[in-house]
Amino acid sequence: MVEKDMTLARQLMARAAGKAPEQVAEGDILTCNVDLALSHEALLRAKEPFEQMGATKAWDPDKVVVALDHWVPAPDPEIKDMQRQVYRFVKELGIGHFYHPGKGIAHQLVMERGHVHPGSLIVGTDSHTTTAGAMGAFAVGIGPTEFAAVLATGELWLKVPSTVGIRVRGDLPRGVYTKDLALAALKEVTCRGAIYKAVEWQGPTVEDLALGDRQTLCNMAAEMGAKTGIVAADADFLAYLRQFIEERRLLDGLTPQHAQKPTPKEALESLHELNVGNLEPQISCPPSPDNVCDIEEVEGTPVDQVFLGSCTNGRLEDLRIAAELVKGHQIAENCRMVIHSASKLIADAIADEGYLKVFEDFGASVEPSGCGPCFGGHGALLKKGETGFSTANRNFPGRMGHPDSKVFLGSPATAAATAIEGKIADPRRYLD
Amino acid sequence: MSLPETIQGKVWVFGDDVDTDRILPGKYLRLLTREELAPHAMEGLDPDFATSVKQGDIIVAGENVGCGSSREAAPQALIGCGIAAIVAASFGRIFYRNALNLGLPLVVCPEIGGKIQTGDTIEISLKEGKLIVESSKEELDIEPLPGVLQDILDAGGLVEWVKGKVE
Repeated sequence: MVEKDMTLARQLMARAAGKAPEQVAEGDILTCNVDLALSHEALLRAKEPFEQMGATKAWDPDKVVVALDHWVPAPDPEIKDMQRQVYRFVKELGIGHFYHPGKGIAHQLVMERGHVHPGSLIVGTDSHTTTAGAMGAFAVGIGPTEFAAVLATGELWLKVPSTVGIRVRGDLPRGVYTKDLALAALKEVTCRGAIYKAVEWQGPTVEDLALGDRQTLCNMAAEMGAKTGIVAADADFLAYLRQFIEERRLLDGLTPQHAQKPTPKEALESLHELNVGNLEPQISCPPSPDNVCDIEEVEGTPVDQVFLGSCTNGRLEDLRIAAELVKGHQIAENCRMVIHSASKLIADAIADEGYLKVFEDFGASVEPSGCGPCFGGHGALLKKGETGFSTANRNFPGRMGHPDSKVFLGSPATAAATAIEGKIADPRRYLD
Repeated sequence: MSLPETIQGKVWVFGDDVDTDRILPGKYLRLLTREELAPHAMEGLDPDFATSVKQGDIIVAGENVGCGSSREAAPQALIGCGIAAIVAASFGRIFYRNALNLGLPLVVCPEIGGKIQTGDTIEISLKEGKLIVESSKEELDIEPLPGVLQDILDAGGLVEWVKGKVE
C-alpha cells in the first residue's frame, strides 16, 4: 500500500539505497548505488582526483557512458589533444560506452542508445543530466571530483529532496509547444524556486507528451535550481516506450511492474498549476532564464544569429517543426542560423526526410551533432552588442559569447520564424 | 590538511543569482588547472576581480550563488585566486557540493543581505556557528553543514575522504 505522503523521489532514492520506501524520509542522507554515470569532456577533470583516491578501474564499466559533445568538431589543436586524452583515460578505466565526437550530446545518447531505465539512479557531470527524468529515472548533476568518487566506488551520498509539483492541464494551442510550457513554468517557479528539490511534471497535458517533449521539461527543471526533474513513467508511457524500443531495438525487459505513479498532491511540498489552453509563444529574455514574457512583448527585436539545437530542443520533432516552417523561405539578410541536431541518428533522419536540403536551401548551416555554440565555448559565438536566439536552456550574460551580447530563448518554431525575419517573430504567422 | 576554526578576511560583495557562467565563462572551460583558471575568475561580473583579489579574501553574496552550469571550474578558479570562503544567503546545489568537495568552505548565512560592503572585514567562526562583521561588530548566525559535508570539509576535501574508503 502506498502511503499518502510517498513521493516518487523517495521511492526511487530508497531503491537506489537498498531500503524500503517507508524507511526513507525527506532530508535523510542516503548512500545510493549508481546505475548509470555519464560524462563528457569534463571527465578529464575527474582523472586527477580519481588517481589520488587510489583507484585504477571504473567500478562497473558497463554503467559508465562518456560522449564527446561540447567541442564538436574540435576547433583547435588544444581541444583535439583534450579529446585524445579523454579517449585514452576511457580506455585506461575500461569504460565500455564511449561516443566519439559527432555521435551526439550525452543526454540524448544515453536515452537513444538504451542506457537509461525507468527507476534508475543516474549521475552525470552536467547540470542537464536531469533530462533523463523523462524516462522516469532519478537523474542528478554532479561535478567531476564527485564523479571520480562514483567511478571509484559506484556510490554517491544524496539527500532525499522534497518534491515540487508542476501540474499541467489544457491543450497546447497551434504554434505553441512544450518549450513554451517549460518557459511559462520557469517564469512561475523562478530560477530559485526549486533549489535542492525534485521537480515533478504531472497532469493530463504532461501524460500525453511523447518522450522528446518530456526531455525538454526535465531538462529545463535544472534552470529552476532543481536536484532533478522527472515525469512518472506510467503504464501507458511504458507501453509507448516498448513500441519505441522495438522500432529502435534499444532497451528490453520493461514490464508493467515498472510502471510509476505520479506523486499525490498531499505528498508534494508545493504545487504549481498551469493551464496551457491559452498559452502564447514564450520568450526568455536576458539576463536570466526565468525572465520570461509573451512573444508580443519582444517581437521585432533584431537578431544576429539563431541557434537551433541543444539537449533541450535538438531532437527530430524540433528540427522537423523548424524545417516545415522555413520551407520555401530564405534566411533574413541580417541573420545567420546554425543547426546542431542532438545526435547522429537524428541528423541521419533529418537527411532521410529531406529536411537537410530544406535547411540548406533556406540558408542555414547544418553542423555536426553536439552542443554547438550553446555554452559559449567555441563556434558561432556572439560579438559585443550582438543578439542571439537559442533553443537551448540558458541566457546568462556572456553565455554565447561576449559579456555584452544578449541571448533570447524560445521554441524551435519561434527560432525558425525569427531566422526568416531576422528579428524575434511569431511562428503562428507561418503555420497553415 | 584540517580546516581552521576561524576564517578572517576582506570581503567582496556580490548580489543574487551569481551564475557559474559569469564566475567562469564558457570559453575558459578548456583550462584544467586552478592556476590557469584563476586569472578568469568572476570575469563575467567584474573583469578587474582576478587582478585585484588577494589571498585570503572572502566572497559574500546573496541568494542562489553558483546557479546554472555544474562547471567545477567555477569554484576551482575562485580557489586559485586564494578565496578563503564564500558566505551567501543560499547556494546552487551543484556549486555547493563542488566547492565543498574541493575543500572551499561555504557558509550559509540567510541574514547577510545588506549588512556588509566590499572592503569590510569579517571573521567566520565555523566552530561556534557565527560570523562577525568587524565594522559594525554585528554577529550573525550561520547554518551548520550536514554531517557528511562537514566530514568531507574536515578531511580536506572529497579526495581525502574517499581515499580511506578505496583502500
